[in-house]
Amino acid sequence: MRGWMRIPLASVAALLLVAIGATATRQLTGGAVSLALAVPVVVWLALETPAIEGAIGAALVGTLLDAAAGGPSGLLTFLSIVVFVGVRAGAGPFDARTPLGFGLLSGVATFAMGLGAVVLLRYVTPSTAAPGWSLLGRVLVEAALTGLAAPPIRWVLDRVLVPAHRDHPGVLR
Amino acid sequence: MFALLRRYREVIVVAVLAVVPLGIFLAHARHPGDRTAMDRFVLAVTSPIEKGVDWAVTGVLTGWQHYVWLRGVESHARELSRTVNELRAENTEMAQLRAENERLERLLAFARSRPEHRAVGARIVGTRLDPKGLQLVTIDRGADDGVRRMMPVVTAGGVLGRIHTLGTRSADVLILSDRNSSIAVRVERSRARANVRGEGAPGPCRLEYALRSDDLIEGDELVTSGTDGVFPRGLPVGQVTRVKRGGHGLYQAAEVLPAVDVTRVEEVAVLVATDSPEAQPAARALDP
Repeated sequence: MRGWMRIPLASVAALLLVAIGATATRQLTGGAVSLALAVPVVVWLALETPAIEGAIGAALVGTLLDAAAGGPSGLLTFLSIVVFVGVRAGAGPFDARTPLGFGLLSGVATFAMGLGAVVLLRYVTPSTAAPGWSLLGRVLVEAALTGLAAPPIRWVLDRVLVPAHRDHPGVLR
Repeated sequence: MFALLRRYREVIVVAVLAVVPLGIFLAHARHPGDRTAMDRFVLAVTSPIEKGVDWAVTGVLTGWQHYVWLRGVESHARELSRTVNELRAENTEMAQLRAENERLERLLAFARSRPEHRAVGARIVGTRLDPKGLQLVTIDRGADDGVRRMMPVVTAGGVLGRIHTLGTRSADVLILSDRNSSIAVRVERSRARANVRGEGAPGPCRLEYALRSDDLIEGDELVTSGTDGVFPRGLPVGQVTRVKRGGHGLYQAAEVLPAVDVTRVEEVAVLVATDSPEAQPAARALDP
């Protein structure tokens, strides 16, 4: 698959996963917990695509997440890029391509995005309206559930998007 | 220069992709009064793009929820339909109870408006309006309740008939539309006297024994005169709808629309006693 095809397909996949996540949480828990099923797409892009292609895809997924979440513009786009870079940097020490590794990495990435969102919102929002640290409990649950759901998402992405060949995997290559 | 850009293009692209959304986020988050010209420029440029993305994402999510992911919708619709049917049945029952309540209230008001009479409330449990036989309705009160033969039976609208056959716990009422029923009446307006006789079917009755010289016009209200020994004075009987005055003869005829629609009555009152001599039937008042 040509690289430029992967970006729109990754965006469509992210959009579908956002919809599925919203439906699943509503049907299964009535909204008591949430799922961030699009984050594994960012993780997959970080692991399996070249830097520029993956970064653009991650930015697009983040933009879709911003639109779907209805929060301040740019927040999740920025955090997607941060996660993208972080995964590329952090995936080296262990084999992130196994289901366990991918799930773990997706869970950590989800938690990092949640934590980053809380920190940034606390930084820019007046103290009376700022999100409390107690939200981190929910973020932790969201990260755990997303980590559990990540392996099957990877299985689908491997078949739909097809990983690119990376000779020397690293942060910039 | 280009070689440098090419060498660090990944770093540059990633940095731009990270910095731009962060700048947008900070520009949005800043209080409107604190925004710089740069912030305003960023907002002006990014707002239309954000609107477009938001429109597309919202459209996809809405389409997914409403047209693709319809799991449980059928059972939910079935459940709602069942609830609607139950509520409709309940609503019908409530409407019936309300109508019954209104009828009973009118009957009670009628009874209270005539304190000189003592009444026993009854419910109609059967009707026999066969044109070949007597025009009867059966009520759920009988001799055990103090009901006696020939007692008047009324509704809030007026006279229904009189007790014909008596049982211990039920009674048949000969209604005013029966051919054997003749009620002495008086024209409310002119005080002229006559009799209202049934025609053997629910519907109009006929006015008989109204003297040709009596003042009688269509629309006249007829009330009981109390001279037949059954009905007390002053109970509504019906309304004159058509007057037939021939070229000769002693009497004039008229059609009477009963004040009570016998096919729709459900609750009645049996006047078991009359305390006031003025209200008593004249014939009974003359008894020693």
